Amino acid sequence: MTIAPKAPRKLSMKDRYSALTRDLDWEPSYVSKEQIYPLTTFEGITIHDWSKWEDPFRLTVDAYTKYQAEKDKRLYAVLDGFAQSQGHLSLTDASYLNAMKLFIQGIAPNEYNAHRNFAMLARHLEGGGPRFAALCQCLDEMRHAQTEIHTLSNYNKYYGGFHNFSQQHDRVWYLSVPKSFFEDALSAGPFEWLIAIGFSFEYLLTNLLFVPFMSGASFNGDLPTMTFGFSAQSDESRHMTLGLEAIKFLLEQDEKNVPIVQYWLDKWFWRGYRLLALVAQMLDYMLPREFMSWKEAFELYFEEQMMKGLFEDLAYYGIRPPLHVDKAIQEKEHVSHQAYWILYQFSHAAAFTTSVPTAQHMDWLEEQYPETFPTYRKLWEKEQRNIDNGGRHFIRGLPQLCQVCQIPMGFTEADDPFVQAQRESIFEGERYNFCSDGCQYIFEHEPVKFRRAWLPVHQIYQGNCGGPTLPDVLNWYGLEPGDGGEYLGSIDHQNWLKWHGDPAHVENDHAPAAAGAEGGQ
Amino acid sequence: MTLQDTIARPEIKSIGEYNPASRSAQELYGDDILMHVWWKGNPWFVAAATFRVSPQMTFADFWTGVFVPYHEEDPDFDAGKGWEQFDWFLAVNRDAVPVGVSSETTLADLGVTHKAVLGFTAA
Repeated sequence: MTIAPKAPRKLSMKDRYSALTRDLDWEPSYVSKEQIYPLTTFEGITIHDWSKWEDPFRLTVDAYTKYQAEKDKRLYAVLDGFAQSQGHLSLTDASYLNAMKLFIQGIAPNEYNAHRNFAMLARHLEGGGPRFAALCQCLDEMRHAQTEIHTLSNYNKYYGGFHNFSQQHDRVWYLSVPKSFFEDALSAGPFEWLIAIGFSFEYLLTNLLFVPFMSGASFNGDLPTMTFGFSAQSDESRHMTLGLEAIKFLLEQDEKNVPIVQYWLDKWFWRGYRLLALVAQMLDYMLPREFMSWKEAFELYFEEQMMKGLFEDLAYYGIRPPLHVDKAIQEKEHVSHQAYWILYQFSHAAAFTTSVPTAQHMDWLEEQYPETFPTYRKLWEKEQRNIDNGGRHFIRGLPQLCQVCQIPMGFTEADDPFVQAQRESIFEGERYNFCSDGCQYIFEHEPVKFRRAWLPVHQIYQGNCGGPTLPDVLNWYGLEPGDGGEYLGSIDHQNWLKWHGDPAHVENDHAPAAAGAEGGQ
Repeated sequence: MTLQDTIARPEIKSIGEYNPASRSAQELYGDDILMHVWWKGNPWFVAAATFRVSPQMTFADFWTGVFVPYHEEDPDFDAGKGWEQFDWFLAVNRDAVPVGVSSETTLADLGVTHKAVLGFTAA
């Protein structure tokens, strides 16, 4: 009698997932766990049982790559179609791309940074579940960096400000804001990173970052960026879930973790909120076709969803809302106006352009901010008179920077919203300046780390940025003519008028002869 | 001039010795200092301005060589009215410590030390 060989047993999806992720974990026999995982104790976090970590990804590597490849195919088909049909000509206006210049300069390099640190976590977290989750998010972040760059690279053929984003991310003054934010997190321990990026950035604030950019793209004819946004959306949902899992895991493991996590929440809420000042001004000032004000976005995505939902849940663990959140709520009436006013005055040293808002746009801002915008409108009207008299307000010097967020100190007092805040602390004989109580609070907890901050203004005065003159510094930044300054009359603006047959076009040396058809390379 | 610390060194959690030096220390500017100049209550200037100066510079030289060229960017600023049009102070958090300026007074005499904020408002 012949016995038929047993058919190979097929694992259920759950067993297969377990076999391909957690079953790759093992107990060390000839080295200690401390030797294998040297980074999980110095922050003071106590973990009793790593198996309690619930992995929100629940994907095996083969399933993960299959899904992502399908999404990539759809995205790259849209990119090809947009490029071949000269889709850039159907944007609302060339000035819309200032928002995307900020995105590729400030966000895409930090997607790459995020991939680096999640790769580190995929090596250094002790549990098999969190290691695998970190691996998946590492791959997501790398993919996002690549797809963002590919999505926006088509615009580099026709418009300034896109050509040198990576070097500019490391050097240009306003990009030190997102760069220092992420490098603060990169240089922290693995648990602080999870709260900083995994929770505070990916969960607490992510809707305030991605929804404005992607919806702005949708409203302004930018199909590639909108498609990228959809492509990343399912990943971002997993990242949010991972962030929430991370904080609950730490809080449930030991009550001694609570005050540590609370400080990280206080710190990273404020750091993330300050970073979003760049998004706030983009939303209110850089979109030719507006869709939502910063105030409205803040109320919906932060006050409604986070303050009334998330933090009520976290109170169960002994976590309160972040310190200084009241200041952020008060600032929603002001922060976008103050941030754009900063960028407007320094855009001669930036890789994007700015302009006085049109009367129609100011009417929209006044509808959104009836209590506060009239005051800012007077500033713009003064600037318009200045322009009419032959001026254009570019600052002739360098601004005071906050030691922590690195933004020019243009934010105002909570109880006097038209007087800029000044704060200082003295540590080991040296004075440090801050824009707010929130930034001062962070410095006073970590002065040794933050005294190491690379502040662009201080470095220029030390002679570390290409030379003593403005052209020296702009050359060191990697800026080219047309990258920054005033939008009206700029190379982008002139080309836009030419390509659309606008009689206001003035021939200049910079416009590609038939860029609408041929483009540059 | 030695400044009195306002905060003590907190506990540092790190995987090794961690004690980097300041990247903005006065010594990095030779004999010069950085000073911040803040027109309090005038939003035309988005923030205080930072200058690298010698603390031995007289206020008259500061006014003509540093202050006026920068602040002339505000079309409402009238340099011809002189520095007497302003009240001057050192800003320390929310406090304002008045200082008396005169042509021969040096910045050091005014108490302007590295990264101090010299503020002014309309008199």
